[in-house]
Amino acid sequence: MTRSTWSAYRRTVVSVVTYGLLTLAFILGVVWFFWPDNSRWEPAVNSLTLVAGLSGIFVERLTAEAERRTEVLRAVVDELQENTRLLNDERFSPAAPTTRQVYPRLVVSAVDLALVSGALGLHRDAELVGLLHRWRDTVHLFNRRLDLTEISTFSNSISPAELAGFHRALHRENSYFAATRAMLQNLLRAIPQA
Amino acid sequence: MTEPVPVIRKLERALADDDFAWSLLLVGEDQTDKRTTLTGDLRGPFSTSGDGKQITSGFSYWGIGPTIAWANATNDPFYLVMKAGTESFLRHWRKLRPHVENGGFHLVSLGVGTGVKDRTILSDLRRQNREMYYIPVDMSSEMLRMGTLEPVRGARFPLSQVLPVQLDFSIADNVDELGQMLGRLVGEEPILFTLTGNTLANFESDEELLSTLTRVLRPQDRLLLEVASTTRLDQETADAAADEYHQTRAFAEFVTSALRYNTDLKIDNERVKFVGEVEDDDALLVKILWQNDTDSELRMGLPDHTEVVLPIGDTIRLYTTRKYSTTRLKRLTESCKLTPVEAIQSQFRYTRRPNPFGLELLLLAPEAAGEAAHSLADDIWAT
Repeated sequence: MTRSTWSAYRRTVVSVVTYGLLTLAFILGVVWFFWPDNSRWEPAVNSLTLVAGLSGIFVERLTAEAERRTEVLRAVVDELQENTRLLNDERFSPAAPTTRQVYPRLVVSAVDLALVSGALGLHRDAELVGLLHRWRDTVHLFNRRLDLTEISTFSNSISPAELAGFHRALHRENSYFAATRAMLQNLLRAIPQA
Repeated sequence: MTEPVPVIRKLERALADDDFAWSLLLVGEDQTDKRTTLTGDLRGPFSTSGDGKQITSGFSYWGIGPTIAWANATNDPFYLVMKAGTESFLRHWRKLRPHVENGGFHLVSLGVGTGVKDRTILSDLRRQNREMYYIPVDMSSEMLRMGTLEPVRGARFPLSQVLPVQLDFSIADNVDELGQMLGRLVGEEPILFTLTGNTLANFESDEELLSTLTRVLRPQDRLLLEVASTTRLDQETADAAADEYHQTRAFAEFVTSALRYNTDLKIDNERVKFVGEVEDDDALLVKILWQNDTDSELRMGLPDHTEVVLPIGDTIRLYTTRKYSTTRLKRLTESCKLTPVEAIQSQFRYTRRPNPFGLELLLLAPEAAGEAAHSLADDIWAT
């Protein structure tokens, strides 16, 4: 059983126990109403309600955690899809003219938020958290390379051949651009469907 | 009846355990022709700027006299440029090495020099290719014998894999013949040609020499080029470049040695001028001249026992060298259709003030190799 399914299983068990106890307490309450002579009904109903109340706290906490995690993951997926769109921008296209231009930057605000929010489980999402940290570093280095490219291409002394060199370097098979795109696709595949 | 065995096949075994200092040499040219060329060059017209009579590049090292003078100059501790050059070569080579280490290259060293740089290259290349050949090429048989000692005795490169070739590689036909011979010798295996120690700068037309050498480069071959570089191009820097050579007495002895050895001219070092100028706005040219600044004309006996008159003010160019700017190197490599695979440059650090001079080591591939230039853009976008 994986960490993710174990977590969902735990939430289901606690919920079933809580609702089960409440149902049992309700049935005993009804029986007590019709046959009030037995004085042992009262502590039985009270105890069951008390235990259900306690386990209900856990149900609420587990449900809130799951909802937060779902929200965070949805935001991360949205951001990654936005980044995919940015990488497919015509300015990054191999067919783009080899002119100097300002490139769009990749964003990592949702990833940053996901990492600091604590919504991702320490054990359950350890692998995903590692991937998000690496993605965050990749995006920063990618954006830094775009800064350097713009600084170089917007200098007065650059020749058309050098400008074409930047275009060629960006679209080389083993360039950082290709590595970033591959990493983005891997990450999208690795994120559990919310 | 058995066929006679050619002597060259038996030679290896014959020399194997012989501790006499034999050295093998493949001579490509009639040395009488060289002497005629030298005599012809010394009969040039009158010039006060060193553009008439001259000793062209290879002749500066031709013969035992100039070779010994060169060896003394390289060992002179005051010849700082040579010392700095040897040290920077090691650093630069380490960075370039990955590009040629694993290709199974043979080494053809054009202008063998002291052999120290060849020794470094050979010990690295041989680690990956035990069967490699070392083919030093020089116009001077004495330089070849001296220069191959270092790799063979110092780095224990097997003598049976060394083939020194005495040839003037500034002549296009010679280079073509050399290329064909090498092709038959190594087949399709790649060759690393080296032209180190700023040798390119010693030729009257550096572009012509580089283009001649490029003609023999096959797509799988590479050319390692080491040149002196400058970051500033003005008369003051040109004068400083000239001074750099002026500082060493051993170097002055070397540049005059070809004239001493081949003529009867009595040379006073005071008459040797070091002239620096900016060449084509993209390099510094240093001409080292002997000038007749006496009050009377002089007579100089030539190797063919004729005499030539040196009028007052006449000059003999003894040595030419340059310091290249990045622009000039780019122009040279582009015009010769060479692609820089890697280029590493460093400034000399032996002076207190920032020094515009340095050395640049370039690994060049012929255009046909399809090797893309390693540019700033590639560095930025590399993973």
